[in-house]
Amino acid sequence: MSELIAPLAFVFIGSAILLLLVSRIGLPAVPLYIVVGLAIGEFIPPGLTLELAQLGIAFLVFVFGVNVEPERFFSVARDSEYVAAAQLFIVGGATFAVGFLLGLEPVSAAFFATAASLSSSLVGRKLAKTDIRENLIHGRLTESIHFVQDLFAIGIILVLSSAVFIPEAATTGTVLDGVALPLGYGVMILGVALAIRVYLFDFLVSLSGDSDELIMLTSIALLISFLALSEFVGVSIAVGAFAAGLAITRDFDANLSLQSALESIETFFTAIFFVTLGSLVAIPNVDVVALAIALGVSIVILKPVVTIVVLIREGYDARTACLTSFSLDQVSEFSLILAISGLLAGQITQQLFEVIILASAVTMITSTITYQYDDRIYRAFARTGVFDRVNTPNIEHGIETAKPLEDHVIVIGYGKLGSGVTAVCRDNETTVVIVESDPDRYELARDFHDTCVFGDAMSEQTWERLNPSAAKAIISTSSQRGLSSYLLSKETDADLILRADRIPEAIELHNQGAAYVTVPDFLASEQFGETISRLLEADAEPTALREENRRLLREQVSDARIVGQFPVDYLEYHR
Amino acid sequence: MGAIGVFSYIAARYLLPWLFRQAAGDRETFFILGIAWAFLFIFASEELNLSIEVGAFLAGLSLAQVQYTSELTERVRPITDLFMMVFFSSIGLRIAADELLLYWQEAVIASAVLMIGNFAIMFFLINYEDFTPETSFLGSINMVQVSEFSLVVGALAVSQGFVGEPILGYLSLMAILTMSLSTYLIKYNHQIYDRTKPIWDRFDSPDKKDVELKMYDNHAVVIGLDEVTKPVLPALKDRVGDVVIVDRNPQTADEFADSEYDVIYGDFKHSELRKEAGLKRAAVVLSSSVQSEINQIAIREANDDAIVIVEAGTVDQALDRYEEGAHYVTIPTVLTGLKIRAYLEEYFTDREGFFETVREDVKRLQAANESGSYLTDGGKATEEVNTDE
Repeated sequence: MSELIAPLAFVFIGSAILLLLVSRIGLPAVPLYIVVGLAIGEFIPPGLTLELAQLGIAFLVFVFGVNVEPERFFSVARDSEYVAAAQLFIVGGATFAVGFLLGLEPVSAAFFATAASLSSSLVGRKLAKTDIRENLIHGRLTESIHFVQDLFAIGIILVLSSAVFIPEAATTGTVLDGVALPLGYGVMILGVALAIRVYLFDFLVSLSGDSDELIMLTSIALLISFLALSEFVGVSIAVGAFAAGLAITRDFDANLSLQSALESIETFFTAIFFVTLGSLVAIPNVDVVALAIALGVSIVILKPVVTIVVLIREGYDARTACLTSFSLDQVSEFSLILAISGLLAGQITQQLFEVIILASAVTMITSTITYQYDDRIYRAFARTGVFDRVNTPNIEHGIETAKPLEDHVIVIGYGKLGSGVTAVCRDNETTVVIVESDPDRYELARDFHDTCVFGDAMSEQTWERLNPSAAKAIISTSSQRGLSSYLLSKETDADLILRADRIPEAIELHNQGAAYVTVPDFLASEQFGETISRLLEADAEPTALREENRRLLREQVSDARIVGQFPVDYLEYHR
Repeated sequence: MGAIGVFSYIAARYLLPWLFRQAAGDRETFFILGIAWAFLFIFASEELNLSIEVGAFLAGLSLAQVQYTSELTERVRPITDLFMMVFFSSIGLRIAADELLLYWQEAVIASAVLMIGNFAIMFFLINYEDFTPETSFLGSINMVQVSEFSLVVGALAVSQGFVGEPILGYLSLMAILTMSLSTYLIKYNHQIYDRTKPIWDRFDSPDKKDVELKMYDNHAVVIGLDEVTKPVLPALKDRVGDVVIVDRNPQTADEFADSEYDVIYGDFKHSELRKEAGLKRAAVVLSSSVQSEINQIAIREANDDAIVIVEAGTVDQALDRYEEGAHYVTIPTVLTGLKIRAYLEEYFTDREGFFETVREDVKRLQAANESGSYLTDGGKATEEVNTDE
């Protein structure tokens, strides 16, 4: 016990200091942990750190497993499986070839290639957090691609960890047996986990009553049992940990407490795992640096290019494709787990291990940079004309044939606000053009309106079709600052109505020439205050209030003319 | 050890509040900082050849002085549970069955003496402070077990070679006996009191009374503050009474530190914080979170008579919340949509009038900006905090 104290103290004190120092910049924590590890490497005795790192793997994969909901897989995956698969095969294949040419053994080259092709969801999700929350299309894509890749990663870990047994099997039996047996066991363990999930877990929860502590301990006990099981049959503990996570559903009443418990455990072991990982790297020699650069290039350049091409082929516009690719250009934490399992099993050399760790620390940091400047990088590329061929927005229904656009209103975004705005314009017999870059919303807009443009509101090609100089008004329902500035820079006499989420920004945009800037929460608060006062004063029964308010909601939604919120027949008269 | 204690005290006064304020915006940093603080003390104690247990205790003591304590406790609890399980199981593993039972007669006698003695002493002390007999009785009967720290001390003594394993076995047996018995004593404490009331009534006298602890009742619980809910606080205070705000934005805690509203810094997901806010006794529950999970908990745990008002991101969610029992579900974008619709109608029919309205509106925005509202803080911290949606 006491030999653990000093290393753990270094891990956490170092991490806390670095996290505090960079808390203003918004760097993700994972690369910082690796940097801490690099710095304090000599204070941590190596044998001990490997033990710690394995614990870290177990808990990290476990928490990931808990968050996986197999039921949701198909709705989340959609287009993403192609992108994830393309990354895996094209980027992975190319990097495998490069690694092979640079003199790596096939198994080592496979590790090398995996490091290049998988992206980190811990980093990517943290970076794209705002985009995901605002449900921007590239945020959604990022999230789902990461999810699919993580599942691939588990599969790869299963396969590669089985390869460990080749040498042993070669002496006693056939090579095939060596791979197939652990693989079969791995699948069996996953099967057991699913059976527990479906048949047993609810019962375990009901046994633990309402006690948060017992539910957490039950989960940990499941984890330990699965770890023991995988150890017993000779499969990677990562597979056992994932299976344990899978055995736990998130679908029960007290799951919030389990979630927050797991969050703490995840944070605790994330720090331990990544700092330990960094501490295993010695001062790199030339070979290590050269290989790391090769790996880095394939992650920072090849991977984004492949992602962009595939996304554009899937029908997304160039900007969405670029922005998505900029949150995928780093090494996955699963590749690190693979690397360390490979090192422990003697499948890869210390040298290759260091290459992967170095490349991951660097790309996780560069990824933060490309993400922060994503729009500028996109624009720099767009100016060179590479996207010209693919970036032509689809003009649907009538723009081409009808008389030229004049005195029209351009509405950017067809969400709740956008659909309401569009309805008001049409009531007032004004021509409306809707600009939308999310395929789903675009489809919705087309169902209700004639003139829609699919494309990015910040691309020149889109604007060429909109004839802004003759527009009566441009109404943006997106609060992206970059978009607002872009619109303000357009030369047009049209009245600009923008949206901002914060008051100072709204005032600034207004001063810069916007006719009006909506701050949704501010407007909503005025309405809300009235309602609350009415509620608190009402003498009515709570249940009656509830019914009344529910009815009111329907009225409000139809008054605000928000489409896509209720079934189509409910809004039939909007057409 | 004295030096560490002094350092802990000074740090709690001057350093920690500042450190945690820096970290409170980011959940990960906040948590890692708390753990690092504990390890700093543990490591220092170890290096100085002092007891790491006391070092850890001093670290906790200084953390307890920071206003973010309750949130930190909740965040660290899972880790504590995990290691507690390991610790107590390891004590169990170290003791062979015969060692556990070697001194069983002594353990039984000591347990009996301890339980009766503890009860008598505590009853005497509480009674001496002029509390009512019921309070004295309940207070004492809840304390008739051995502390888990006796095992910590026992384990320490064994590792230092002061006592042998059988003594640890004897301590463990006492812990098992007293802890299991006291579970039932506590569970049925009111019934036991009712049955034995005549005995305790003899200690009653007219000048005995219980000090009322402040307990929220029929109050308003506000979960998270944003620009939509903040303006209604005065109305809530006015019509309901006590207002308790649960928010994991450190700015809220700072802003309302000296106001008439009570603020609990932390995440509503933690059941202890919900207890602290008295959610089950609240008359009004107002949530500005759009997270379904948070709102479902608020609806489920609130009193049947309470009015529950929550926010939703989409109409589907709103209808679900109504189904689950919310009395009012607000969708800010719908409310905004209504307003914007009115503005646009004016824009198309009476352009001059529209610009007049806009001027008024901008004035109100400016006023809000100067009065320092949530939408004015330039961003980062609040955004960080409200991101899980």
